Amino acid sequence: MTRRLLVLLTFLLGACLSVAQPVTIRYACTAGGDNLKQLNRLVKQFESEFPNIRVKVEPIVDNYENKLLSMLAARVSPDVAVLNPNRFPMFASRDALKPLDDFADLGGPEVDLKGRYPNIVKAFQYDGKQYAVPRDVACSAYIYYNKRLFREAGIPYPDGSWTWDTKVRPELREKDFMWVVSQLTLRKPNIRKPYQYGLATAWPQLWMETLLTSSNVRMWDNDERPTKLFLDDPKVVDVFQFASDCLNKFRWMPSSTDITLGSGSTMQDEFRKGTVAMLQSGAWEVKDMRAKMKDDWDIAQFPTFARGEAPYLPGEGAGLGIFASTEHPQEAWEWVKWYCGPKGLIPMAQSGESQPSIRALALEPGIWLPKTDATGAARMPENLRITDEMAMRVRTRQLPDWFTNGVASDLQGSYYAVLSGEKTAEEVLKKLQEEEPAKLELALSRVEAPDYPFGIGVAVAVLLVAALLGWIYAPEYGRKLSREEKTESRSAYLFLIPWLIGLAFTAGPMIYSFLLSFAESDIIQTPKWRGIGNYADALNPRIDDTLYVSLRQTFYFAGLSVPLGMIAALLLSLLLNQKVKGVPLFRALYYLPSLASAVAMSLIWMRLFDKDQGVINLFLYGADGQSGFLHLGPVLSNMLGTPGEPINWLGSTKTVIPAFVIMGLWGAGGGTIIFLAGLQAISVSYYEAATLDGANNWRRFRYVTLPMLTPYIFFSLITGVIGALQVFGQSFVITQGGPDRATNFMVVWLYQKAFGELKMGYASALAWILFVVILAFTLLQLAAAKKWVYYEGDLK
Amino acid sequence: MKRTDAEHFRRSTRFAKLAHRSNYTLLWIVLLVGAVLFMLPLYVMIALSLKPEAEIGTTSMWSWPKSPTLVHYVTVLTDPDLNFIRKFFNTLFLSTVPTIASVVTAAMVAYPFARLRFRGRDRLFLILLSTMMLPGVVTLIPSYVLFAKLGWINTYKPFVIPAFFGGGAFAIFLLRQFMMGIPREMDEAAKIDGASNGVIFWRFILPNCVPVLATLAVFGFVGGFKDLMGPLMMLNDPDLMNLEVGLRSLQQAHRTEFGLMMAGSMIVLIPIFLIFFACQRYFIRGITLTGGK
Repeated sequence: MTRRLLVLLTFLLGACLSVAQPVTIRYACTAGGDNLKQLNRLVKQFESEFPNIRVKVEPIVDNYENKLLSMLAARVSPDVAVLNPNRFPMFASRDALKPLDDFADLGGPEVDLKGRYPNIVKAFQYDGKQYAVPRDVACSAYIYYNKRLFREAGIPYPDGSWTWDTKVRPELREKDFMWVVSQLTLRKPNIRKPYQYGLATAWPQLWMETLLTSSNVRMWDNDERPTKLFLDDPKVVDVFQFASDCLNKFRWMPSSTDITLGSGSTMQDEFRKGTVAMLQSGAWEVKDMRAKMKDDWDIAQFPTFARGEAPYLPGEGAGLGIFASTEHPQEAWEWVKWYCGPKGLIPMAQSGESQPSIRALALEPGIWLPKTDATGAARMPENLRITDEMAMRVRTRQLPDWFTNGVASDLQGSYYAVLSGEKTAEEVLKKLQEEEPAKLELALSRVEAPDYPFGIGVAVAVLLVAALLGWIYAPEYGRKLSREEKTESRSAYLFLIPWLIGLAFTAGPMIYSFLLSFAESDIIQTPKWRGIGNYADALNPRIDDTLYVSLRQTFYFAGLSVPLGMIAALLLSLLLNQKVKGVPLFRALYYLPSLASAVAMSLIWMRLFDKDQGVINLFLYGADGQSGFLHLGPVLSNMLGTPGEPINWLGSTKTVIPAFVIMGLWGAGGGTIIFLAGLQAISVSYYEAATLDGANNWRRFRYVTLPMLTPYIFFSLITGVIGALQVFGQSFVITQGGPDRATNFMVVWLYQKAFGELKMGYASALAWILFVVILAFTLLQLAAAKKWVYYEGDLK
Repeated sequence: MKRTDAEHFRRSTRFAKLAHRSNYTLLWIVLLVGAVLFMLPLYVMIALSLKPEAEIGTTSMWSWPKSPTLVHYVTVLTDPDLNFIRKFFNTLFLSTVPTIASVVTAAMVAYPFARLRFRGRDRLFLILLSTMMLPGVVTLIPSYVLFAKLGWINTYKPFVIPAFFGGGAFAIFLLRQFMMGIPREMDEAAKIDGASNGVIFWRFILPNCVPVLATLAVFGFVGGFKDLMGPLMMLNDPDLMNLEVGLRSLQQAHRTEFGLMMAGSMIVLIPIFLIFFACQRYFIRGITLTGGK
């Protein structure tokens, strides 16, 4: 019996050992939903082919790069991740990625780099090394066109011979892209706003980017190490101004409201509706268009620039890279090769999701191109073959970090001001050309900083904590306590225990960020010592005046939104505290907008504030755009200096903050329930006494309700100011800091520094500057509170 | 202790008498107009969530759907990758457990700040407030690293454990304000009778704080229910994620389909709305002992 068992055991053990333990690869990707279904199927297929490898998919739904960065900082990064050609250098340049040249078969037939679109292969090289195998290529300059509208205008379908210039050339007729755009823009007599636009782009900046890339204007001397800028070169100004004129002067493209809103979906909808004749976007629209449009559409090449040399186009794509920290490089490599190989690419191409980076697959009918015998929507777009040529023209730029985050980012920031029509291209570019060279020089002259003195850092942290403790306890040190006071103090600290322990969770990261504010830190590599350099740079308007602009706008927002929000909440709470039938339902209804998803609400608010169709302007200007309620609209337009134009709420620097404040009022429900709770604490006896004294409603409010509510008003004031000075969400979702930095609030800006530019040290310094500002306000309020806040159970 | 229901009854009848009929109607109209204004964005949300895909791009956003459809709701509820039921219970856990823990411990911490004398109180209070003043953007990564070092990534620990340690400055501050408004006669008397601070807190202060505890519970619940960043950063496993993250990924798969997005938002909104509706009697009918003399 025992022997049998022993034999069985040995047998089992042997069986276990002979099958190697499978290795698990963590794969981070941006996929969700449908893509995920497909991905999971592919993973199963891969695992059956490679039984000793398991792939654990970790889809990152949002904030993809931030999460990767956090994982890197905490040393828990995945083995393989999807990378973007414009953003991967931030990982590659910091040695976070494994150069794929380490694998002997990188140049082999399985990876087949030579068979892939050369531009996208090159885009994933950094410093001469390959860091990712491209999966798909995505040119973002296809022109989707509505065939019906072409027929109606009597314009032949495009045949690929379009050229464009910064003016219309009517003599070329349908060979000139801009002539076609102008012909497809249709107006009713005497109404400037077209009912049909010639062209739209999937998102606003794309238009500027496409024109700049395809005209190939020189804005600096070279990409590797730019030292000279030619931003106000007449050719550059010409292209910038033309980009704006198409929107604002000729109105061939939907207006600047749509430009500042940055919401992609509208344009696709407008195109499908037929109010936009052509849509510029990437190949990723194909799947949607097939599903939602019938077969009366097609795609065309973006025109080449008439005066141009090399006809480049903007675009990107995706590839798979391996993190340097992986413990299973070989297994990770197998997955990369397999997934970026035909078995992974074909299903993705067949679903119309993305154009495979392997050229042969992109050209074979039935994979990316429709089957030759396809019918109906499935055979659309008929011209899909042109994507091959377009993919060859894609150019991604690889600029040094300090340039991307400096000059290039300021340049991009200026797109808004130009595209919204608020400023002319010349004004904007002249100013940039004046200011940027100094910044460029500074960036170039910046010497390698010394390593961060960690010993000193720890010492400073200890000193800081000691100083705080001293500040807390020194004033009362040595004061004799009575026995009663001692027991009271002791029991107080017993109650405080949870908070004191929990302080470690908040204070630890706070102290860390304080120490980091003296560093140059990109999160990934060990920080360098900058001393007070970050603070000095931020406070010096010659280097960067953003701090002052940003603080001004933040104060403007807080100054409007805090008092208005509090008054609204107070009035609502008084209203909702009444004994009226159905008041519980009303309370819930008033609170509802504060409960709804912020992103969904933002998207709705964008439409409510829309210049042309929004309900706010409908109310102000009426349906005819002239009269409206009490002629309020025209009066406001005159006040803003744009008579005759409806207010472009979210697109103008003057009105965007008031618009945000108005949106914020719909969230007053949160403050209301705080006041409601406070109202419950007011004893009825006070009202009774007041009534006996003959006080009327107003006096009862003024002398009973209001004083008794002061603790909550004080609370709302303190937390309201803290919250408003840290305002982030609306700007982040709706305006991304624009127009022209008007909503570039402090936290929006430091978020951009931290995660957009990987300057965690600088961002920390900004955060601590904001901290000091908020602290100062809070101290002022605490001092003033002694005069006006009444506590019934106060100790004194 | 004096019962308060009688008082409430007195109060309500008095108010009813005071409110003249015309005033009453006026009040009701004001409430109604306000409600319509406040529901404006919600109306758009509901209308969009019920519109079939064909109507979304082609009709005015103000129009009520010509042929209302529940297809977006069905998509959300039945998507196998979203796994609604599982995500719903995850969300429920993430919104209730930390809320309960933080409301209770916040009350504990607020009590000495409001009603006891101890060394360094006012300056410790400023420290408490200052923890709200640093933008979370710069503490995000240090916190993540801290939790990773503790081995808490991809678990619910970063949501649950810190909640037991004070529940955050906002909650403590609000509770402190409320507690400072409670008259001292009652606990003074109890103290003379030899009651400890623990007893006073538990028997007198906490029951008085019910309205504000309910308010904070609602805030906490709503915050937990709609939390996107927390689960997004701290969790990796799709099976552990909450509804908000799941809905976001569904939206991305369908590339900003408005109807789907709005339906998802509505689905999240409904349980929150119900909780609020159920809780609100506690905001209003706290066991008010105040002024009882």
